[in-house]
Amino acid sequence: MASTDVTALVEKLSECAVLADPVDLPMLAEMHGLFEALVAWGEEAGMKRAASCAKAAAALVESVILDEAGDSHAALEIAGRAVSAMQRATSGDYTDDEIDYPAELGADEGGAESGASVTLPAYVDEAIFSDFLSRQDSGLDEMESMVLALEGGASEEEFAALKRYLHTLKGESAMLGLEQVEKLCHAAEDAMLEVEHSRLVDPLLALRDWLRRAFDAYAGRGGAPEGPEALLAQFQSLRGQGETAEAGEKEVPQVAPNVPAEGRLHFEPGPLTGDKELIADFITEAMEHLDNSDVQLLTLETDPGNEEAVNAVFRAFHTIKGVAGFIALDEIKALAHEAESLLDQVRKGAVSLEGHRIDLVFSAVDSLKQCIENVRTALDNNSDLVPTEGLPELVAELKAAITDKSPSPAPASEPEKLGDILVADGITTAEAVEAALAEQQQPLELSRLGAVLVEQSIISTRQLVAALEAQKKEGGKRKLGEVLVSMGLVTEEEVARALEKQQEPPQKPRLGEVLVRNGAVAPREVAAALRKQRGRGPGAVVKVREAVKVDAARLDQLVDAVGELVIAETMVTQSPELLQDTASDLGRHISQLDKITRELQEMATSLRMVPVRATFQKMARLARDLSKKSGKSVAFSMSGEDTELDKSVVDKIGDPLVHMIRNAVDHGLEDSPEDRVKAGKPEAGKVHLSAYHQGGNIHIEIEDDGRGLNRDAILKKAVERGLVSESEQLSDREVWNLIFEAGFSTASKVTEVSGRGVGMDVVKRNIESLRGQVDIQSETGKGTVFTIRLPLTLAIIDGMVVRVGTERFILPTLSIVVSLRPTEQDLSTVTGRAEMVKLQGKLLPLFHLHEMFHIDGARENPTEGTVVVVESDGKRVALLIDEILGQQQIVIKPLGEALRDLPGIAGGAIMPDGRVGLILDIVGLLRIAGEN
Amino acid sequence: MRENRENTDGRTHGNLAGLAGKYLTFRLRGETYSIEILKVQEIIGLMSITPVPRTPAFVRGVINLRGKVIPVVDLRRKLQMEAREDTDRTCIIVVRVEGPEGPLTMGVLVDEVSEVLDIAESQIEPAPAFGASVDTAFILAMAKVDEAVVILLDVNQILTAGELHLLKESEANQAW
Repeated sequence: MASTDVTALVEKLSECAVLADPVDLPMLAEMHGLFEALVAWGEEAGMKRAASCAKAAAALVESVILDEAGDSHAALEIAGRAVSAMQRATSGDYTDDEIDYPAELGADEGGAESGASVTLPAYVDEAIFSDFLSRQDSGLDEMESMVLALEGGASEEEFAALKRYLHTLKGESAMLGLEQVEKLCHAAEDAMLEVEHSRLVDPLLALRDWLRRAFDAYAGRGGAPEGPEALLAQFQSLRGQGETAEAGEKEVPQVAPNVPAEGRLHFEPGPLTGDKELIADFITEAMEHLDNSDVQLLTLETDPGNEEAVNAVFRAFHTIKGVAGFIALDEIKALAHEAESLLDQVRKGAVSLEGHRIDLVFSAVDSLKQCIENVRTALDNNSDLVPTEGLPELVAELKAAITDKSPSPAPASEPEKLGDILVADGITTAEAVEAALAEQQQPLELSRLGAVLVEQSIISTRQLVAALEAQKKEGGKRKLGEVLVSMGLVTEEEVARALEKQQEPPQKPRLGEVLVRNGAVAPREVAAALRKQRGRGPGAVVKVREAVKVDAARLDQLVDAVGELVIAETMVTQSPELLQDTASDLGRHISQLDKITRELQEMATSLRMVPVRATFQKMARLARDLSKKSGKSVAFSMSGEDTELDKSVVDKIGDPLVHMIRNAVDHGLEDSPEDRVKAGKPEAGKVHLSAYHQGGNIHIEIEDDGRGLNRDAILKKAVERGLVSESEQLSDREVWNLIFEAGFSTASKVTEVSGRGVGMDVVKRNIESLRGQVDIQSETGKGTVFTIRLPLTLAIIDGMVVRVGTERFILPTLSIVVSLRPTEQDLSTVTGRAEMVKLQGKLLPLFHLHEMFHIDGARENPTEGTVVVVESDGKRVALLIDEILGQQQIVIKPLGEALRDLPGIAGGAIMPDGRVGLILDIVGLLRIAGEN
Repeated sequence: MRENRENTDGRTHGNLAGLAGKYLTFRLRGETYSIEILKVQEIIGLMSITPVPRTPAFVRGVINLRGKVIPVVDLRRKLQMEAREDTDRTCIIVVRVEGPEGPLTMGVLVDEVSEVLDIAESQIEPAPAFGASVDTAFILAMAKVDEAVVILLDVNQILTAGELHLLKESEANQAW
């Protein structure tokens, strides 16, 4: 075939690829033909990979035509990439080997068989592996630059950094079971110790490229590289040793702890021998694993059969063991090993994780934490590592627990069902699965005649397409079979046979297929779920989570800048010039701009949002510890852990929660189970921590079913302390709020009244600094609910814009109770001056904002203006304003250092007209009102 | 020139020696004042100022400077001159001053901005004492430029943060 012909072919093909649509059969048929032509060309030209790629692409297009491709759009996308590859192949500028053919089309199949295996060991956690792979992306780039630096005579430090990188990589690969990577890194490390720097550059670069291909292969981004033997040999020969790649087969270090004959472990203090940086990393990681284990163990306590939790804890121990062994922390390795073994037995169903065993595992976690703290101390002070007390005993206990098996091994668990997986992963709903299952049972529609004929190779896809086209042109009067016969493509006999075949019941469609057809799930998701169902079989692919670590300050700047953009955009969209202009397209463009701006704002805001999960998990552990310490049985539960909050809020909410959980367990719950039973409650005290959205705010609730707050006791205390006078009539709410008074707790503690208030003033202050509010509901004998209302972010609030005279102010919507226009009957005065307004039968003091702020020209008569009832600290007052202008989202800006702490003003906000609006501070206003 | 200076007025040398340099001059009630150019961030035309309640009379309010909220001080009121209607020449000089807790950005409202002058050390003289009637704490020095008198202002002194809040009720009444 002449090269010009080929070029024309590919050009035509690329046109088709651009225009191709899964329903455009003639176009697909043409693509099919073009690919087939390219197969012929490739074979002729000796471009083997090109030929195989084209062939696979042709088959792929065919599957789309026959409607057999799971996801035709994805298939066409692959075909499109095949076209680009073919363009390069036919250009003559590249050799066959230089071209990246789409991996999906398997042009590299032949190579992959002998190449590196991309099989993942079964026990590797997908998340860990994915994290590992994402880190390698930048890691390998760094490695490259480090290796290149070697050529220019790198400093000792740079050389050490490179060594450390390989060393870490070796360790991690060993842990993940990537033997080939481990071997190669090991060989490279050895070579680095002995060989001159400059000679290392080439083999190290080759290693880097190999690693890149290998990691890409794991991530499903291309074929596997060739085996590591050549590279291994290269490193061997560098070292001038005649050994073959055998060295790579070196034994993996034994992971079992070194147990002396008497079966008792004994550890001597000694210096840390491992790499300091690795140890530091290990400390952080291990602590995370252990914290997570705590949570999983809590789950297991209530649900011992929870496989996922068992696996998670198992993996945590496994990981810790692996790394600890690697950096020579024998103590940790030994303990983690035993804990892992116990968990392994649990996983296999040999023993169950109940009672004594789960306590042991908890102890193991605690002991490991202690070990790690010791390591940290040793690392920080550069001192010897002190053995952890009680560890050998714990190891022995764990060992005993393993051998002391309960005799009933659980039956091998059945593989999970696909539907369950899909529902559990939140990809589809249980209803959709059920509908699909029902449909699966239904009689099937029959496969089409054309498909049968093509399958039996009686006609080609092209012919089928041509026949279908012809049939369509005739208006579909004749059946396909007749058209085919009339076109002379098939005999009537063949049609009859095919029709017969068509009647045969085809295989029952699979659930995944039905779900895809119903549009309940995307094919990709079914594939992922199937992969999950199969477990990590050979060739399993791990999705690499792309993540970029960004400096929080830069994130804040971005959020700020987006805030500005939103304001500027509002100024444009609300400009009067624009409102006059109704004729042009400008309005349409502006509304498009508006949409994009809002999206951008949402995205920017969401960047700072993190789930409260981590904080809640700490509370779960705290509750358990408190329960053990106080001897009270506590059933702690939580919900809404995935609720997201601004990071700064999440960071600061921890302390108040600790106080409140402690209070709930210490003071809220009855002292003994008997008391509870007497009160008709279950023995275990309930403490529930939950988070949820409500009305643009986040609510966090701490609920207990204890004895509730004691109104009389609190009142008595308050009167004693002179906080309230005896004659005062206080609502429940006002009474409960007394526990937030500073120092209130001490008094109640001394007399051991059931007042709870250990540091409650601190709690309240912390929450108010987050612009949140705490609310208490309590019923004597039944329990107490603390509700914390928090803004979604610290930077943006909902505000009500109000007018007073010529001035505008913003009232935080959160603090507004109600607004009303009072009638004469609602108003009354005290001593002729102080005004009161009646709201729901209660009298509230009424303050004129214009008087407090000395504003001229405002409405002085409350019956002409608007009265807004605001609330802060549980106190309500009424403010007289002229009118409410509207509600809007407001980005809070400080008024600057010079105007800090102005009474009654919380800050400024840029209004849509570009001016500054002042945000009122209710607490400050109340204070001013008090002065007046 | 330096020696010259020392000879004529060695007494105040320590105060005046570092004062030579570029100054932005502006006018207030016909008098010429100036601020060291390095303290000036920018000059903006008069824009809508939001008054802030319960602040001293010389605090005109706050403005939106490209998304940042900054206070604006009316220099006439600050220097105890009578107030005047704003004109189209009225403008705001945005200055950066040293506050007790780091740099502050503020606007200074003046009648009109004149020019940037290079003031040599030889032109600078210490501020004369006027007695109790005139507060000279915020005057760095005086300079004679082509027979005209330029008053060099100490921006840090006029705009210390502490003065902007912490005010008495009576003062607030004046402000509004």
